[in-house]
Amino acid sequence: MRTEIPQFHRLLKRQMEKHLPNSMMGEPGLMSFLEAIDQAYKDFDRDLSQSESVLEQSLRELFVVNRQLTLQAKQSQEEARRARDELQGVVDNVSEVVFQTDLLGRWVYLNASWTRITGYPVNQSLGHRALDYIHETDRIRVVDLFRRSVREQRSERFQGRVRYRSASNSLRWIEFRARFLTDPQGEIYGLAGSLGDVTEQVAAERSIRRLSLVAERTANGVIITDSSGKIEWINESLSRLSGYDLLHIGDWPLIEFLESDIGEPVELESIKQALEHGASHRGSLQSRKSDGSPWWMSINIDPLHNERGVFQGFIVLLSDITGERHIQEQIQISEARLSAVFDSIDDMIWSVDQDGLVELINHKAKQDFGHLYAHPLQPGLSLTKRMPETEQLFWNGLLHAALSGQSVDERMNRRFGNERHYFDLSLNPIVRDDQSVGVVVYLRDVTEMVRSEAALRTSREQLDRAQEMARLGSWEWELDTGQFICSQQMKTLLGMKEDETPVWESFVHALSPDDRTVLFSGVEQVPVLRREFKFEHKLLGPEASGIVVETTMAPHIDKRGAVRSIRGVSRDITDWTNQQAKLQEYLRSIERRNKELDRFAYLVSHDLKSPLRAIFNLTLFIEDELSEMPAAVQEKFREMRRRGEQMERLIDGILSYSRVGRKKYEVRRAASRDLLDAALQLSNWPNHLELRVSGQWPELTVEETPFIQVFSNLVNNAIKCHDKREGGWVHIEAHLDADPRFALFCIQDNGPGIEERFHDKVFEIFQTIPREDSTNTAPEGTGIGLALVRKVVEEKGGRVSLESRPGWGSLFCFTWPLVEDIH
Amino acid sequence: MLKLPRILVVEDDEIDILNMERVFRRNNVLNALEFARNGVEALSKLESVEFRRSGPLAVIMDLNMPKMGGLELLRRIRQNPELNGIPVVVFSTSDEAEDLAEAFRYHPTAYFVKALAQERFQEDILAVLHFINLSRQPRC
Repeated sequence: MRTEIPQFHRLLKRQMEKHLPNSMMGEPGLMSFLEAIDQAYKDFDRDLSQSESVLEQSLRELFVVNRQLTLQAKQSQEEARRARDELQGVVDNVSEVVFQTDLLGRWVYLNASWTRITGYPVNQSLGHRALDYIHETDRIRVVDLFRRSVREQRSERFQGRVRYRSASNSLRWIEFRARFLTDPQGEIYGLAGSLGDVTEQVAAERSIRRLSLVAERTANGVIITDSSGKIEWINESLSRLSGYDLLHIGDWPLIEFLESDIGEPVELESIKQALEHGASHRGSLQSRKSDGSPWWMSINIDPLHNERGVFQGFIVLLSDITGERHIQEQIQISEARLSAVFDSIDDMIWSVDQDGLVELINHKAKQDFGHLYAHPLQPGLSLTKRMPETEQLFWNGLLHAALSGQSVDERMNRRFGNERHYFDLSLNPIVRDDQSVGVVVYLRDVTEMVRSEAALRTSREQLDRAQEMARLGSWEWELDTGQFICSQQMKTLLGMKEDETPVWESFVHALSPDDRTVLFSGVEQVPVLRREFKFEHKLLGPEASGIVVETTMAPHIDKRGAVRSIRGVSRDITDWTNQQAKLQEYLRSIERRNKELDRFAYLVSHDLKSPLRAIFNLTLFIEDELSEMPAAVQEKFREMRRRGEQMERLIDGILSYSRVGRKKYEVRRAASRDLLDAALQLSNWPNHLELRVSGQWPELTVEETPFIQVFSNLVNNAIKCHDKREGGWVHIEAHLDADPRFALFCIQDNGPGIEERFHDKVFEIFQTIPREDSTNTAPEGTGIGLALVRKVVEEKGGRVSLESRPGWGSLFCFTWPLVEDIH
Repeated sequence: MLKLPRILVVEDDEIDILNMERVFRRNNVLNALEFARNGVEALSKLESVEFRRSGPLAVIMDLNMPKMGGLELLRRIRQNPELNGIPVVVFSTSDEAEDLAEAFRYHPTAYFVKALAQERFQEDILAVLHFINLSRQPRC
């Protein structure tokens, strides 16, 4: 196996492979020798690479230096060129023109500013005489200047201002500075210098000069203050106006000079503010002169700044406006008066100028125009522009007519707020120097007037119609003038034609002589006694004959309490009188009938009862005379008498029924319980019926008899109809009624009761209920009792009621007033 | 034996007279009956001295009569000092309060409403007779 060879230098390795047999390898001596050689190789190698890197570095540095040198050379060339350009640029860009001329004054050099200032191109200007550009009037001055300088050799440098003509042919000011150019031998060969445009400067200087003149000489007072507001300078006018000179007020704060006891504090305050803030101020102020007299001044304060904009102080212009102020005050006073008058008018008034623009508006118009149109009236705006189209046509037409010099009057009706109003409008031209310069519009709301006119018309028509219907005429006779006016119907009553003019005599002559006497006494009385006078009279005359009239006269008293006139109303009472007579006739006949009825009742009670009695008694006599009579005949006689008795009861019933309400008894205070007892005494109370009385029995103010009559009828009814032999009862109660004016009385029984279908019938006269109980021997009812009860109770304002069922019994109730009306 | 007063019946109705006689007869009344058809007739009898002298007297009268009514007759009797001691009983068909009030102004001895029923009528007449017969009167 091959021995491992250590890593030797590549050159040694190659030598070993070439020259050393493999067998020698591994020889320790050889190996250390080889290692030494290898080390030498390696050292040599290292030295070599070091030398190489040094060499390389030197080469690189050399190259860098060389390149820097090249760059520097380039830069200096560049800089030189830039410096040259910059110089040219500077020369070209200086605002001043830099120039050079030859000895003959021809342009030799001009920089770019020449073109900027004069407008001439440089290359076209070179070679031309400088003088040619100067204004003719200034040329001589320039030439003189140069000649003098050359001759006297006084000055090398000179300067001046001349006017020149620019390319645009405008005249401008230039200032030039120049010196002679001399060669080394001292010979002058030209001029060099600069020139600049000073047109604005000249203008400014001139205006300052002019301003200072103005400040000196102006009629207005001028004050200049320093930045703290202290007075530095004043002009003569201010001394003249105020009476103070600079000796007095120099160094005064401006505000002290302005302040006085009569100055408006608000204005002074705002001046102070302006001074503090370095601001402008315009205003007017009242103050006092040095002699104490007041004067009004207008004040203009403006801050002053220097050219650099630094605040320097104030310039104050004062002028005496005492005169204007006085006039103004007078105008204001008259304007205030005028507008007070204007505003106090309760109609809308405004004016428009010839272009239709609104000028003056009074208060009413300000207030109400908006109700008429949807927008308010505003000064300076067109009257019609915001109106609907139709309104525009309407108003423009009116304005046009008025502006052409006519006065226009019109009535219109428009929606005003929520209602329709009527307006009278009137447009009148405002004429100055025969020219219409505007229109005054006057708008009066006449709604009330229009309505009251209509209402008056209607009410007059209504009055006429009413008087016609009432056949009633009215009239008025004025005491002073004797004028007599009367309504249409009065004329009709007097038999006058519609177009006839009534006079007092028309009335007087329509009366009979007797009635006239009454009329005259009335006419005398009314103004004196100041009260109504009424009398009835007839109206004579062809057509009015037979009319009965009631005339009422009354004084008409005016506000001062004097009787101005007599007013009268004459009413046709012919029909009324006739009716009155007829009524009297009716009343008389009713009274007669009543008496006849009384007489009839009397006849019934006596004359009918007598024959009845006779028939009755005769049956008895017949019985007496016929000693033997069959039982059947006797029975028939008994029945005959029974019927006779019934007939008597009927007659009595009719009598009492007809007597109800017709007959009056005394009204007395009585205990209702006592009256019940009286009624019970009248009845024949059967032993088998139990009587119960309970409840609260009130005191009554009552006609006793009818009350007892009612109770006794009800009690009798209860007894008579009762069918129970045992256990029968009648219960009588008293209560207060639901209506506090009445008492309620009830009679209840446990008798047979009444079928419902008879409930109404029992209260009708002559109505009786067929009796089913044959054991009851009581006489048959007459059908008067309950009818009488109802008639009496209802006569007193009470009511009767019945509750009843067969087998249950009956409950009769009635109400009776606690206090009866006294008829 | 006390003499029974005679009774003057003032009545215009024939049947009523018969009726009263019937009651008298059937009840064995012993009083003598005199009749007058109206107030005038009655008054002339009462005013005759002979008529009065023949014994004590009582009057039963109707109110409603021709010529002179009962009220007028009663007034005259009560106003005549020679007659006003005589008992006067009124039998009338009227039960009207006014008639009663009017009658009582002249102080009748009694006032009866004529009952149609025979029993009542008889009772009433007998009561009146009983009263008259018991009353002691000064002899005229």
